[in-house]
This record gives sequence, C-alpha cells and structure tokens, in this order.
Amino acid sequence: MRKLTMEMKREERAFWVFILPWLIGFIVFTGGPILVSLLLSFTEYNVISSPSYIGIDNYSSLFQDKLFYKSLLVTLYYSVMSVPFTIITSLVIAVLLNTKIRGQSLLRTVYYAPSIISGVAVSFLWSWLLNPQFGVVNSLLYDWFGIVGPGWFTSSATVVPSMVLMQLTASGSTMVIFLAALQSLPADLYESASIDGAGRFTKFVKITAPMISPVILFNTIISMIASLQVFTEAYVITKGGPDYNSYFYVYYLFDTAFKQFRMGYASAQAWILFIIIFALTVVSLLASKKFIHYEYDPKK
Amino acid sequence: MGKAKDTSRSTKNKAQIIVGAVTAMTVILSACSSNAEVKDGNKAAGAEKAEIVWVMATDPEKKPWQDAMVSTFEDSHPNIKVRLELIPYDQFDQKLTTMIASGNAPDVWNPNQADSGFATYMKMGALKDLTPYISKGAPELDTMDPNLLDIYKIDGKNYGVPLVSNATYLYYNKDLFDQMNLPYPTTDWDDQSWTNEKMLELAQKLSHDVGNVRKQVFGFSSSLSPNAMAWAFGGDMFKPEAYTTGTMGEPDLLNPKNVEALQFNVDLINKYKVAPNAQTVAAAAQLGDPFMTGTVAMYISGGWGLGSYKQADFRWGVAAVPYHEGRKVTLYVDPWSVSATSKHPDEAWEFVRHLANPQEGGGAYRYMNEVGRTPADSSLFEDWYAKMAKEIGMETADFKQVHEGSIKYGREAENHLIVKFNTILSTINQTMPTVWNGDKTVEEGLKALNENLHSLKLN
Repeated sequence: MRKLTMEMKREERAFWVFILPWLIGFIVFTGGPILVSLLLSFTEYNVISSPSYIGIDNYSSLFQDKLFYKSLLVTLYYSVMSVPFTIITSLVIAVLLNTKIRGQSLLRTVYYAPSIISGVAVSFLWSWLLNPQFGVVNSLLYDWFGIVGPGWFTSSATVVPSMVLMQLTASGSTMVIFLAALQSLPADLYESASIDGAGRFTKFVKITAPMISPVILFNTIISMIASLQVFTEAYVITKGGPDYNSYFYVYYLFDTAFKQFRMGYASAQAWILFIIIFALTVVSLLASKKFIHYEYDPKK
Repeated sequence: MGKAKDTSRSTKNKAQIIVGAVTAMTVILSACSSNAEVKDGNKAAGAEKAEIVWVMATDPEKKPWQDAMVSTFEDSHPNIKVRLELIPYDQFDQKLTTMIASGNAPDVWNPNQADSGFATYMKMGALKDLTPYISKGAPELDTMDPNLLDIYKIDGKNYGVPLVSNATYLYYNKDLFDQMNLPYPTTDWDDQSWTNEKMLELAQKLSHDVGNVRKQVFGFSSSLSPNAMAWAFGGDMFKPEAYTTGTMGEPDLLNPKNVEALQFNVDLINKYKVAPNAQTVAAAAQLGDPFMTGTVAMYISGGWGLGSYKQADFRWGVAAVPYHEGRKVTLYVDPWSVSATSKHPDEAWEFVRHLANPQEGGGAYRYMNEVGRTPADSSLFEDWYAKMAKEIGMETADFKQVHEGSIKYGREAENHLIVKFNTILSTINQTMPTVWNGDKTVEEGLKALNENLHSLKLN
C-alpha cells in the first residue's frame, strides 16, 4: 500500500469530519431501523408487549396470505401501467419544453411546479377533479359531450388507471432529468443528420433516443421503484378499495403495522418488498445492457 | 421519495440504484415511526402543578366547549393544569396506540372516539379501574341510568363514565316529502304497520331522475354498516359471545336473516333504484354526508346527525326505523376513561367528574346545550328533548317518542365491544361493494367475506 503524505492524511481527516453528520444520521435514523426491522421480522411484536422470537413464521405465513398476493398483483398492475406512462409523458413534455420558443422558462416552471406540492394535497385535488358525481371532469364530459363519465376512484375497474393518470402531476423531476439530458446533446450530430436529409422523427429515433438511453434507463428504474412503493393515493383517496383493487403492497404493510400493530409481520413484508425491488432492479440493469449506449465507456 | 440527482456513468449507476433502493426502503420504515414521538409537555413550568393530558378527536364543533371545560376546571382546581390534545379522527387509533406503547398515554380520553373502541383498549390493559373512585362518592353520577354505567363495567369494575349516548334514527327531508305531498314517517317505534315494505313504497314515490346526476333524488339511503343492516332485520353477523367476550370468533354470516337484510338493501339499489349505489355513496362521502346533499329523502344514521344537520339548507325531521321482527339499532355510548398508566390518576378523576357534571355549567350540561349531543345523564333528558324538538321543528312529545323508542330497541355498537373492530370493519367495507353493485350475489359476497375474515389475525 502506498504511503499517505501529510497532505493526503489531512484531507482524509477533513473528509471524515465533513461526512460525519451524514454518517451519524444514516446510522441512527436509517441503518439502525433497517437492522431492527430485519430482527423484528423474525418476531411477533404488537408494540405494547415486548417482541417474542418466532423464527421464520412471519415469512411462511406471508406466502399463504391471500392479501399478500392480491396486494402484490395490484401493485404490479399499477407499476406496469404507470412506469411507461410516466416515462413517455415526461419524455414528450421534455422534448416539447426543449424547443426554443418564447416563454420557455415559464412553461418549464409551470410543468415542474406540481411535483413540489405534497402528495397528500395532490391526491385531494385529484379526488375532487375525478369525483364521479361532483367533479369537474365528469361535469365537463356531461356538459360538452353528453357522456356519463366513469366512476374513477370509486369503481373496481377504473381505480388503478385513475391513479396512473395522477402521475401527470407527479412526474416533474423525471421530466427535468430528461430535459437536462436533452440539453447536453451535441448540436453537430443533428446538423450533419439534417445535411443527410434526416427528418425530425428519424433524428429522434437515430440520435436522441440512443444518446439519452442511459437516462431513460435511470428514470425507468427510479420510477419503477417509486411505483412499487405507491401508497399516498390509496391512503388518501380510496383506503385500498373498492374490493381491495387499490390495496397496494405498501398500503397493506401500513395497515399491518399501524392499524393492526403487527410489527413483526409488517417488517417481513418490508423485507420481501426490498428483495423484490432489488431483484427487479438487477434484472432490468442486466436486460438493458444491449440497448443502452454509453458515450464515454470507461472500459474502452 | 429519495430520487438521486446524478445520471452519470454506468459503474456508479448500479451502486447508486442500490443505495436508492435502500434509501427508499428506509423512508417507509422511518416515515412510519416519526409519528410516535410525543412531547413530554412543559414540565419545567410550575413544578408543583400537576399537568393532565386530555385527548379528543379534532372536531371544530366541539372546540369552544373544550376550551370552556379546560378554563372552568383550571379556575376551580388551581393546582391542576389540563392540556388538550386534538387528533384527527382517522388517525386516532393509530396515534393513541403509539402513545400508549411509548408510555405517554393521555390521562383522560374517550376510547370509543374512532373505529377501534373500548374493547380493544380494555384488552390492551390501557384503562384504569374507576370503581374505587366511584364508590368514594361521585354525586355527578347519581342521576346516571345504571344500565349505561354497566356497559363499561367488566367483571364488576367500572372502566368508563358515559358522556353521550347517541341513538339511531331515520332522518327525513321534509322539503322532499312536502313536494310530493306525502305524510312524514311515524315517530312510534311500536307501530308495526311501518314496515320496510311501507318504507320502500314511500321511497319509490319520493325517488326521481335516478341516474341523472344533476336532478336525481333518492328515496332512501343509510350509513348503516352491513352488520347494523342485519341487526335491523333481527340478524347478526357475529355470535352473541363475540359481544360479551370481545373476541370475534367464528362469524355467523350466512344466517338467513342477514341474507334477507342485505338482499333488501341490494334490491333498493339495483332492483327498485330508490337508493344510491356504492359509487354514488362513495362520491358523496368524499364531500361529507349523503343526507346533507339534500337529494336523499330518508336516511338511517346515528344521533350525531342531530348536531351536524343543523347546517342543512332544507327542513328535516327524525322518525322511527321501520319495524321488523327482532329489529335492533345501534347505540353509541361514549365514556370518559382514565389511562391505567396515568401519573396523576386522582387529578384525572377530578377532571372526569367535571366533564360528567350534569349541573348547570358542568361538562355534561354544557355538552348537551352547546354541542347538542345526546346526554347520557337522565336528569338532562327533558331539557334536551325540548331543546332538540325546538331546533328541528318537531313536537317535544314526538321527539321524545323517537328517542325513547331508539333506546328501547337499541344495543351497544359492535366496535365498542369486539376487539380490533377497525380491522374487521375495513375487511367488511372492502368486500361489500361487489355485492352492492351486483357483481356478487349476497350469498357469494358473504362467503367471500367469511374467507377474508378468517384470514385475519386478530390476536
């Protein structure tokens, strides 16, 4: 091992001093609870009396729990719809906001703004907009087109699609990341493509899409993780109903932990979710290898 | 939720995503625990003064009364300070359980405030035996109906002092009845000609334009839980032992009377189209109370409506729930309890006495007068009848008849008696919409519910 100079030692010390607040925060507020939840997942713990060790009982009864599968299915259904929806809409908006027009920065602010509002407030907003009897959307549908609008959050068939629609006001940060990527694309590529006679669509498919593919992958994985943890919408608007059709995995976890106070079982649920998310992330990273173009590959 | 900002290289990317996943995961865990901390109050201020914590669910209607209770009590008990803490209704059980678990249980509270109820907290061992205090003498309780006191007597020990006893009535919209020139429903609970079939006939005459969101008027609806619907037809979803032992045990869902009751309510929606379907009810519930929309002519609900319907912009009255053999309706008797772990039980008991005092200026007296809820204390009944009858625009004798009938045919609410009823109730509420919208027959729905209830772990 290489010997450290005084300078380097001092720098290292400074590093630890500066990182310490974060480290303490991580260990106390994040690492600690993670470890405790792992231990609790092997116990029965109702908060009032102390936890008692029950081995892997929580995990084995989880795999026989009908609601576990139901909530997992509902969550995957939401995820499968919500991830492409979020990626496509935010990419389209990002491309539009990247066109040079007047009021561009104002429009960018307007489109980003909803994502800084708390999810609870946004959920209330949507529940009013989409209220089947008194909401603006169904009112306009009826007045303008004479259509009796759907039940939105109140019907088994439309509850999850309605929640996917809510992503319209929640994908601001995804859009901003796309926008940043679009802005970093070199203009000379587009120029030479224009000289070769490429149209807008060809340019998008042949240049834009491959160039930003790492960003698409990143956004896809981040929104996949977020969608598997969907909670607020169900908690605020539907309480998991009707007939468990928006009983998302994390909502079930919350119910177990904070309505039924079965902390051990809830911890087991959390760890299963962690494993699922981890596995899906690894799979999508491996599967995407072929399709992703990295401009600066350190291995080359 | 924890989105990383860097979008750079591939090697870093993987590590980041893993960290992202871990962070996101802990957000769930940590976000959940942040509610648990309850401040220990200002201990430094007034070391000699005992501070007791009084917890209720947030309700702006009750706030002036609550403030008055604190100040009048502090005036007469200069050594005791009362700190009022308000918790939103739908977080009440969650917050209370965390407070109890963390050793910061409030001193005085009403365990029936939300969905969980007395039985759940009783089983946790969270409530203090008040018998020694009561036997030492509490003149405030002299005029209390002993039957009410007995509701919260377990193995001969009192764990609660009743404060309100809300009954169940059939509310009706007088404006809608007058428009159709129909007579108001009876106030006599023993009138056996006022049957569900009669009610349906009336509802058919009152309903119009159902399906047209702008103009529709429904003849009938109710806020009854499926179990309360069964009670109204002499049925019951649970065995009698469930209510006495507090354990749900084996449910008794397919009792023919339950099927009859639920089928009647399904038919009101789908066959006769006089009642709003589950979607319409859910839509109205997002905004508040369906009866308050003014588009429901008859509505069965609890006694709190007497207070909250005051704001309605139509005239209304109360009547008897239709007769059926074995009919029972829900009574909601709420008690004040003291926590088993209270550090100042004597002071807390003094405050309970203050809250329960039916004399002019006392807690129970002012609660009846200022908040308008049904008193538990018999000495307040006559005053309350006269006051309510005047407010509603009914004869005092008629109102008295409705209320007394409801008490006569009433039984205590299931969530006050069965442990963890909030979980049972949310399971019922998840399953029943498929029955209301006709996807499942009543029998199929009850079978599905039976399965779902069996998979619950309630211990």
